Amino acid sequence: MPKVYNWQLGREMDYPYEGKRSKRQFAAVFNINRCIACQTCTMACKSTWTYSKGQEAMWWNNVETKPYGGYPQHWDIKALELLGEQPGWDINGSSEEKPYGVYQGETLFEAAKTRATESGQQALGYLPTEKEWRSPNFYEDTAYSSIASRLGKMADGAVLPEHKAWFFYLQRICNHCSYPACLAACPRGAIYKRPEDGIVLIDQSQCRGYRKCVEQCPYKKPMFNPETRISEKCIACYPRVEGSDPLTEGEPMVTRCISACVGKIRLQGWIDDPKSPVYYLVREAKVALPLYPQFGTEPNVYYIPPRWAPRGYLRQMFGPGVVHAIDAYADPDHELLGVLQLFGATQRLVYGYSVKDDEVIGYGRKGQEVVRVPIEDPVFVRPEKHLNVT
Amino acid sequence: MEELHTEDDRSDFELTHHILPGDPGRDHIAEMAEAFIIEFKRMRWTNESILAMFRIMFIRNVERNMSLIFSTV
Repeated sequence: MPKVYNWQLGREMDYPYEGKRSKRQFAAVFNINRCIACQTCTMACKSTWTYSKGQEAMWWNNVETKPYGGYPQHWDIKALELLGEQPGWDINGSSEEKPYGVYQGETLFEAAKTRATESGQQALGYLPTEKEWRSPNFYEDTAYSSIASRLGKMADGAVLPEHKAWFFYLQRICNHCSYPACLAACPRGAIYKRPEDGIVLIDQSQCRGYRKCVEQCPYKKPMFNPETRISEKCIACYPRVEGSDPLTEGEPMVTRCISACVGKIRLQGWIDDPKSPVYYLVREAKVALPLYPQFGTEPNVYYIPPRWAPRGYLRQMFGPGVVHAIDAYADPDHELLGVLQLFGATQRLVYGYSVKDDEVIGYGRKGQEVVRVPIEDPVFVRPEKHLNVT
Repeated sequence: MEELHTEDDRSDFELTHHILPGDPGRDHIAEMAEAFIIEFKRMRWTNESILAMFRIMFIRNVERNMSLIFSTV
């Protein structure tokens, strides 16, 4: 099996194909600290891409309540259980090439080689049952549900409707991984990674619906369509990223879920371009971290971890960079404050930026200004005589 | 995703009803309230508009913590 370099692990790892980086890599940063799970992103995606027959239970974008929920149910617990207890990262010797240190455990690809040879899996995985896909966020915010009460299971639980337990919302789309497990799994070679932007797509004319991608993607983002009997997944709104949406006359746009976000928690960019604000957040400020990097797929959606959640849980979810990320985010310098203002500031894709004393400017593909945002928004109070009340 | 289901058979969902313990000595819900206040203040929301946003039943405890924080600053 060829060896590829995974910078999130700080080492080479086994992958079924030769490592071949795309020219640019689609990436996004989601700021968990701002998300209130209004699900506007979910509905923006649903109404754009998955409104047809056979797609009823298909949510390419979903927001789930952690640590209790998931779509499909318990996807991450099951993937972690399959992988088993791992030694984690050696954080000594972290550097530019290995910002989190060196991962000492097995990835899902490596575990498949040693443990799943009979099943022929390229990445250790499982196929969720039909009922696990049925509803995103089902009962997650009503943990002490009427059903549980009726079954007498929650006698000692907190009184409705309050949460007394810690929780946070996790926003999920396809990670458009650098080393996708779905791509590795497909026996038809129907899944490919676009060389121009690293977006991972399923060729609908090649797919025969074997569901190996559904089984082996640890994030469970490829989904089976029972109507067409082939698999589908998030396409990163590639027509918008290509700039073929008429709204911006050729200028690349961010995805629907990102542009629709009410809380302005999302920012899209390129992980391998040092000019991109996403590169700054992930590789320089190191406030945004990959989701379950130990799986080994090098996912390209990064998260600013929630400040309030237990550190041990966050370390398992986002790797060893959690403490630094939270500390840096809690006490942001001027550049970080400026870049944070770019979140949700424009539908156009920001390729570069410059932070001034009192404002931040975002630049588009050709270096032209696409957005200018004050770092400290001024507040204007309408004089009483002009109040719009009767 | 092949079988058809009715509303009633949703009750076979597995409910785990465990509360995961937090870090000792930390009030995670109060910290959550504080974090949301910082975020929305950064976007120049007023105290009243933040409280109005969080006056929904599932996160009433967060809102209560916010009220406490606002009343002490």
